[in-house]
Amino acid sequence: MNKKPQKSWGEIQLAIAAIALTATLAFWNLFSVPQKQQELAQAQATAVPPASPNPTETPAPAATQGVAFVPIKIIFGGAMAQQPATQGAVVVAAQPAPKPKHKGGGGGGGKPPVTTGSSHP
Amino acid sequence: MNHKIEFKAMGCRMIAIIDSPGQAAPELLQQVPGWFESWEQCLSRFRPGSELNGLNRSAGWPVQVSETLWQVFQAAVAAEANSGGLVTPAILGALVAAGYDRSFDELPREQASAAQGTWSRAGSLAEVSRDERNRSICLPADMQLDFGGVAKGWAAEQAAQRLAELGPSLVSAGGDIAISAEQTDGSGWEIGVEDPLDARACVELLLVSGGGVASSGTDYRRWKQGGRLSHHIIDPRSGLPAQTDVLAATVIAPDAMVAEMAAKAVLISGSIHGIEWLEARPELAGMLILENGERLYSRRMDQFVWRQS
Repeated sequence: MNKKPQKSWGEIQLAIAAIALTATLAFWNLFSVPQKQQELAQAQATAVPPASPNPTETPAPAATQGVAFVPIKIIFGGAMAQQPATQGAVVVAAQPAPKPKHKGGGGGGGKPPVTTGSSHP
Repeated sequence: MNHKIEFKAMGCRMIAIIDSPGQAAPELLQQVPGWFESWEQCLSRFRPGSELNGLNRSAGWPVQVSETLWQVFQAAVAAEANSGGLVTPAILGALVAAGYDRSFDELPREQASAAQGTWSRAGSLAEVSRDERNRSICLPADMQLDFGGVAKGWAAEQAAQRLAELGPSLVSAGGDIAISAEQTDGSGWEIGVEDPLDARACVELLLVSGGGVASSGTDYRRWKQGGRLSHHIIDPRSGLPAQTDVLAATVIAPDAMVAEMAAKAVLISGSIHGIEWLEARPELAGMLILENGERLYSRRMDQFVWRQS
């Protein structure tokens, strides 16, 4: 007969522990997600695009390369962090360079047939 | 009369040209892709069955190698010695740790994070034991090789020499260029130096009568790893992608292998030491395009840059 109240108290303790754990996780999740987003944004901001070889020329519209984001799930709260599917990452300024001056023939401009560069495919 | 063939090999665009009036020139040119295919099968780290991968898998044990691999290995030994250790093939572990673990065409331009615990030191070929009599190489157990640009320079040289039996020739292996001699009319070969930011355009036009021309840059083969930019030029002193203010370096040298080595050494050294290094070597001429857009030329470069008079 006396064992019944003891068992109830144990269950109450278990319930309190479960609620405390749930609340901790929920708050953790709530505060850590914006921080993760901020860190990601900061990491992107530190990836500085290469400088233009001729800064005096007017830069043409920048070409952006799409980069997929890893979605961050909110376990408690029922909503997905708002993020675009793609976001500009490496920004390369597509800038027209001076045309080579051919020695002769070939229309006097354009690119020579043989070039050297950084192993473009 | 120039005959020309273009094809893709070693992950790059290849061009071979012969200046010869004969009908034999086009026939010989048709053989060039086959030569590159056999060299790639021997020297590529991206082909699982290549001889190089066999050597890497056998690290710790002596392996008898083919004449091709032996020659490229010797070229790499010379490159390491002449660059003061800055250009070495013993950087494969560091290259893979930096994220370059597959051919560049297949490489994701964004990698989630740096591979943890995979940092690998860059080695030196001085640690490799070899026996010239039976062409055997024994890599240290923790070393793997990636011939990279050395293999391209060597292949360009080999092809240009073979084509030269019919006339002056030029072979470009992804921008590592070997030239056998000036053209039959006495003029030099026109070579454009690509704009690092727009490969469709050129920043200079060079006129070169012989030897080699090569470029090295961090502008194209780069990717993001763990939110930071990474590239394929490893500084053996740190085992990490080189921290340099040079975006691209182009060097003219007595042959394509030396040009390739010198361009990479200058890039890793940075602009100040790089120009000094070039000026101290009378057989070299070069130009550097810096991250800030500035262009630096070694004094001897004037002999090769074409200016409208």
